Amino acid sequence: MGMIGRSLGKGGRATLMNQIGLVLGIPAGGWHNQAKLFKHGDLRLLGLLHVMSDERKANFVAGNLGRVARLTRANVMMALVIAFREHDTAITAHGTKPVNTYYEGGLDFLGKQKDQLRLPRAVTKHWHPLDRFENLETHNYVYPAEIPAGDQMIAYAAQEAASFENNFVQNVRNEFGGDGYAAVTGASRGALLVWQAYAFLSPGGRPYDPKKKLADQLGQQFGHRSALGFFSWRARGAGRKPSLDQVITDRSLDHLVWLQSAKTRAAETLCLERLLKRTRELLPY
Amino acid sequence: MRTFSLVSLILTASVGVSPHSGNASAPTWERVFDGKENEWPSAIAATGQDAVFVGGAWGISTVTSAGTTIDSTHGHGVLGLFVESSSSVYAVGEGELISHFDGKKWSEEHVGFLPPRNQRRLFSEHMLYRMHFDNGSDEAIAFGVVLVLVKQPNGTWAAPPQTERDKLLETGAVGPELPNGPSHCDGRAWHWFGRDRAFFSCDDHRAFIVERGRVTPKGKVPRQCGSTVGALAYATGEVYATCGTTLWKTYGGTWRRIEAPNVRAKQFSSIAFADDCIFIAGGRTVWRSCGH
Repeated sequence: MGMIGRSLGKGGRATLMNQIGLVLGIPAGGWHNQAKLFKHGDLRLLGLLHVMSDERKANFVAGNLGRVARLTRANVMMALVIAFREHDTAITAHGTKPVNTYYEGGLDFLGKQKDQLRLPRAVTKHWHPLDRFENLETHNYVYPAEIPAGDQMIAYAAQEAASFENNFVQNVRNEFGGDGYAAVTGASRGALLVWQAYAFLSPGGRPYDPKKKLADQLGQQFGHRSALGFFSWRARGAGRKPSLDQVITDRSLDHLVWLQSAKTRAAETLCLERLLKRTRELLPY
Repeated sequence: MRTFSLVSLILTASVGVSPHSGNASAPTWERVFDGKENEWPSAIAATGQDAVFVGGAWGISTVTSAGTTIDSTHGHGVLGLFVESSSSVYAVGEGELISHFDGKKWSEEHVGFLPPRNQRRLFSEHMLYRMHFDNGSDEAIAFGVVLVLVKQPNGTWAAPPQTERDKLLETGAVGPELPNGPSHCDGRAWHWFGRDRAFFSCDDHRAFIVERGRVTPKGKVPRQCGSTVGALAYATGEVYATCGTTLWKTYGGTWRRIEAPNVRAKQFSSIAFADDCIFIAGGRTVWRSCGH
């Protein structure tokens, strides 16, 4: 996969990503903040492709992805994208050296949630919840865990799946009401990938309040639940049933950093899936 | 810089609570600290009924019957307070902060670089939030996510060599090997109370106290607490614990819920115990209940 991706060349990679971006509502060239798709004129994913082109490292990546596929219900390519963005060394990590999941990035509540991730006990029995920390600015608490280095990708993948299955699905019911089931079954794949990434980045959020200005509600607290509430309100106001595809057709929230990051990760996931498909086509077996 | 302030008064307005049926006790709570707008306690400690320390982003407030004094930590927010004895209390926090109370006053023993708040990657390399004491060397050890500092004989603090650092960090985070520990204690969650004393629980909710290497079972952590409790305090062989805004105490191998003060917060931030009094911080307030 890594070699095929690299062989596309800078132009080929950019064309592929911009085509994907068009579907997800990402401007050509991507955004220019922490949600950037491109770096120095090429895909930010190029770093991952280089890792996957190194046979030794690729073996570690493959081993980790194999465990993710066997042990979790996550989208494997999205797990790879998330791990690479949160803490790039996680994708090749192996062994039992203990790591602190907060320091490694993106797993702030693993200590509290480890029993809710539907992972085998054979895995989680080696995960130790650590003393919680306080964020002195927000007064929220972080609940990290100490886990074996080789379990990082499993943790990211399981968290991705849990955020989607537990938080997102429940929030669709809460915000879309009786139209929730139809919305999930009728959503496009691209839209679902965006929501999946958004749910991992921001598992909750304040309920959207249509009595207040949108601009006053945006920010860190505007999680995926807030976005669901916003789109539901927009659709009903126009006499339509809410749809999860509004996340890619309605550009009202595109300046929200959470959503930009979610779309970026969804785009990278689709790009990797495209490369995987091409790889399978070329393999003789 | 010590400043004398009447920020808080020890009020005697008690909060009467009707007795609970079943297993809960009905303590009387009184406010001992009401923080100003930016004074949210992140840690509390107590050395006596009338000596409580409250730490947070502003520094340390020492609350006694004579009033409240504030010791600023100059932007280095306090994340942990640890009592070694009535004449030795440590505060640790952001930017490698380590301060020490000698029974009379606070002194800054160590600070390091503090990144600007908008660039600060919280809970990162500059943070210290816990302490423990090495049994073999009797050294005080402050640790955070990756940072470990060991108190030297001359009173300064220094980072140990890498291999020793990893071992100290591991012991601080998940505790030492326990030759007499329970069997099949998976996913051990460890909390140091101080020298030679700690609490830990297992994945199956079994709870234990460790004192000088001796492990004592303390029943099972209530299911309401999920896989982790919030704040913990040691009280003469028993444990007080918070889960969200509920307060629990062990009675041998049983956990009983205790009526807690009504707070407008999602959870209690810290608890402490001294002289038969339990102190609990929620929101910007610290409460006290005595006679336990």
